[in-house]
Amino acid sequence: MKKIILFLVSLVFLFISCSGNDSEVVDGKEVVTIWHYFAEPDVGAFLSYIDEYNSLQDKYFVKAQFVPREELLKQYAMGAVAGELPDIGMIDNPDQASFSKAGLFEDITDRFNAWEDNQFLEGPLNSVKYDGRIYGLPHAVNCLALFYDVDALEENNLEVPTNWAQLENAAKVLTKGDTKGLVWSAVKNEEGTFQLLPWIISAGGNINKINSPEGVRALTFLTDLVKNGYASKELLIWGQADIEKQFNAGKAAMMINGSWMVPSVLKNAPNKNWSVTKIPMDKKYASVLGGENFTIIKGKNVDGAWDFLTWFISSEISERYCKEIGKFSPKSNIDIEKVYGDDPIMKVFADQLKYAVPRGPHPKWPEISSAMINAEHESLTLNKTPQEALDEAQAKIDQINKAD
Amino acid sequence: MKMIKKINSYEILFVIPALGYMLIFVGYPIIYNIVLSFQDTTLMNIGSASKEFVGLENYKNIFSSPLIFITLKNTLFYTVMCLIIQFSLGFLMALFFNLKFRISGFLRGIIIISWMMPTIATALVFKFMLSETGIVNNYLMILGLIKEPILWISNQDTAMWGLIIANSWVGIPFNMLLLSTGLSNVPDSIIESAKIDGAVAWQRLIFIVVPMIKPAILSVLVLGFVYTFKVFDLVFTMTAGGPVNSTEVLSTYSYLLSFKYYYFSQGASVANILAIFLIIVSFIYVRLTSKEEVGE
Repeated sequence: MKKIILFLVSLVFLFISCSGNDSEVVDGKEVVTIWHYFAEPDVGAFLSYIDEYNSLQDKYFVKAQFVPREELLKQYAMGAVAGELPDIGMIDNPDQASFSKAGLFEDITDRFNAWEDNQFLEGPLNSVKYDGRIYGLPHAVNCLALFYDVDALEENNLEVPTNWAQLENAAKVLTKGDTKGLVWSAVKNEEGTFQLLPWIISAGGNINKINSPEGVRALTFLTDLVKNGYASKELLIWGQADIEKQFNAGKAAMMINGSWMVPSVLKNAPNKNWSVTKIPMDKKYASVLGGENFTIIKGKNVDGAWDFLTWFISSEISERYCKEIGKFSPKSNIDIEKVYGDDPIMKVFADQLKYAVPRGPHPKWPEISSAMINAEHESLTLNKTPQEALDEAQAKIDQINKAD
Repeated sequence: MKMIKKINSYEILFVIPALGYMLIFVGYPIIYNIVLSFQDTTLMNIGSASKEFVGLENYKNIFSSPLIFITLKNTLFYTVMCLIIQFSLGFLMALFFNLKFRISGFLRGIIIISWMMPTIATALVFKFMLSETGIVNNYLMILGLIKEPILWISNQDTAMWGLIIANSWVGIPFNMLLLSTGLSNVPDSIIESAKIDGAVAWQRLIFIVVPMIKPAILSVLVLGFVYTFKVFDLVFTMTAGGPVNSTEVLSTYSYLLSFKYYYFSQGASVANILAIFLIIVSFIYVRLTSKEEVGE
């Protein structure tokens, strides 16, 4: 009996001792781990840059680990409890503030200020700031624009829309049979909010005060498009990938979508004659800033992480890398017009990017975002008037701000 | 008289692995979740060692928001409707395939495939099929049953029905399989003697078959309730809880609180409310089946 227990106990110890951490050194180099959710087509480029960095110096060895996008935030939260976190973490920019406030990331303000190559665009840089301190580096940015079917516009003698009246008219004329004039994503998550905000800002509204007359005007405009049948009612459950399929299949003549969709439209609708233009405006052009940041996890290999990031997000590498993956560098000293001068599609996005504003940053952005997309749902389903829906959302947002 | 045999010390060893597994992987998370629901754990303090105990504060917070009542109502409606549809159709199909015609086994095998599909795949396929221009609307229009396409899952009034249809498609074969196993255990001789005694088909069904397969019916209903009540992936993929909140259920609400808003304790509280329902149903099941065994 005793022998058996002894045997079992030693088995348990053997198991525990084997499941320890991997060695932190590879070929005499310190290991720096990164969590990311890059998928095709970005991931190939990203990994090749890591290989390049690894071969350039002999102090650090960077190791990338894929974590699915939906899983990543959960992993950070659980990692914070279990102490199992990478050295560098990737994060979508509206989520950054929550985790910065939670104290998960290293405050890199001093290192940042001492870095020679620290020129960043204001919007992306704001997204890594919390309480005036810097907790990460933006790695690539993107924004939304209007994709349109060139042939459909020409057949109907329509100009490319530049303002809301033209957009509404084009959507009306192009709505025929199975085809809707315009689609955007209003799905009940961050994608929906991302696509709602440009309209509010374009009408002259403010993200912090969405129930202003301008906000109401924007939501009324969108609601009318749906009510009149120029936009599909199904956009309430369509994510950005879903509306891209509608556009590719010819079931939508125009769609609001991001620059990261360009390679995919080219691939999936090779015979389509399409182009992009800035989102038609009411009072001013507007878009919302998308993109991811890289953060250094507190107490991990900060020196190694900083060394890699300052190489990867240096102006020289950032320009090369972002062009390769169809996104934009967050560095302010890179001339986007020059980089994309030969690409008419990306040039439009580059132009639109000037009008892109960041979401938040706010540690409770997910809740604020939820209130906003709920307001769009209440209005598009005609449950509430745009004014009622936005008043209700604003009340929630005020409550969130007050509690904070 | 003492019924339980004295257990030899070495026999305990065979139980230890299973017991250990249950304690670590089932017992611990349940207890942890209960403890979590009485603490104030958010993203902001998750890393620190001590969390404040706040008593029933989380439950108070949850019940002060109308969303919990909407999700409770949605979850119950979804569960009951799914159970009714999948049980009745599953039972009819089980009776049908019990007729033992030539290709019944083959057909039964094919139908069971839908139950084996990953839920995510089912959800995506149904999202397409139930869309405005999808195949379901297309056929309904061709048959002249509807004039305008029905917005199955993008209209708040019908979205829940879209989910119920998708889930029933998965649930029917499962019900059929369990019920037909029960049916095959009903001895032909009893049915034959009932026939001789003059019982017509429906009488044989209600008074002989149903009582005889009662254990199978009970387990189908209980398992069905448990599977349906804790639905997550189907809802998450097809509607993400929308339009408005018409398809938000307890599990997606718990996820929203825990992993979108990072109120881990409130999320745990909602999960516990969900668990309470499942425990009650399981308890009733255990009571009913133990009575059954005593009666035998």
